[in-house]
Amino acid sequence: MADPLIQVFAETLNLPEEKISDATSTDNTPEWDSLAAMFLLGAFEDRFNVEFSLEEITKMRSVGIVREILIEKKVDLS
Amino acid sequence: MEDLFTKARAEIAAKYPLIANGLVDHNNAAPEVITQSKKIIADFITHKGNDALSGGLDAFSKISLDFIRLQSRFIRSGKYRAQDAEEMIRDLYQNSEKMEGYYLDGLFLSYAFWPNHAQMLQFYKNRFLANQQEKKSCLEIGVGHGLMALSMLRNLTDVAYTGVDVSPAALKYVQRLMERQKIDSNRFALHEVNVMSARKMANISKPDGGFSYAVCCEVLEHVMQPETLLNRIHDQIQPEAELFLTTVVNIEAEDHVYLFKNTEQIRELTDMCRFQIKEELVLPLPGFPEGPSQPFNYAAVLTKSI
Repeated sequence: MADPLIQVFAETLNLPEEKISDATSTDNTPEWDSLAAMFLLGAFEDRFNVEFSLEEITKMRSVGIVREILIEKKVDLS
Repeated sequence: MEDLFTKARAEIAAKYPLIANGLVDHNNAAPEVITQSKKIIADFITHKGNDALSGGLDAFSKISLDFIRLQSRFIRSGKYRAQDAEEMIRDLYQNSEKMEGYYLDGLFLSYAFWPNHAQMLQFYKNRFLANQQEKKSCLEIGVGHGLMALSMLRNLTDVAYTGVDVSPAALKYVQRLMERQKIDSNRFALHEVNVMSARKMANISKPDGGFSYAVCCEVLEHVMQPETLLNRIHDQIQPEAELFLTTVVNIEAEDHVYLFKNTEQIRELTDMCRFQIKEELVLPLPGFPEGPSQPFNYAAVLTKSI
């Protein structure tokens, strides 16, 4: 079953879905720079109808962390 | 031994990797810009103390991350979120906790780390201040973090500086900056004034014939009627005096209220307010695609026309 979070990352970073996992991070993915972060935030807002605080954005260093943040915000990622 | 700028940059990159690749470094900046950035870090430490640098870097990173958050929304909405300049005055500029907590430190250090801000400061020094050597008086609208004033008072020994700002916290910040830098207190005067009020501006002591030149950096986008602001400046300066102006196109911030959608709108405004462009610096924000919503930093040296 498609993972909507992985899909958002794949589309925004222009990477194949199979290259993205919860371990994908700003450290190991050069495509994930500040500009990509802007577009990711917009994509999350569109897809999951959420807004993020500055504290949450500061923490968003990996797909796994983004997933945790979205779960805490009660977003359905199924 | 690693210099403080390099260490500071490394600290930001370690704590906030998301903003690391957009910072001034030896690969993307000329040697004189790196020298300037090192000086700004040294000035910050002189101003706030060694122990304050980490907090300052956090403040800078906060405004950088906030830019990412807000610009993300701007890209999709096409308009600035803030629409009420008076509310900004109440909620931010007169809020000493926010101003002293992160805003002023963050903006001060942005001139060390944001490539466009660093280049605009170079442009200011090399293409504007360099031509004001024998001028006697300057008016700055929007003293803010004080870096423009500091550069001026360090390099131009004859000028008497008058700075106005709507924020008491900014004035206090700059007062302390000047004291720590041992700038003679007889050379500068700071006033808490909302420049949009003609009555309050009239109370500012103006030299006979007007100020020799003026500076107005990153203020135009913070007022609802930028033409009123430029007309006020026009009234305060001598005929053919120069104005150094900076603003932004399509760049969101928590306190930006007036949206310039392209550089042509800025030129039309300055022309309407009887200023001629002598020289411009138009800096696209790196990484953004070209197009109608492309963000820019804009700086210009203007001459007052009659």
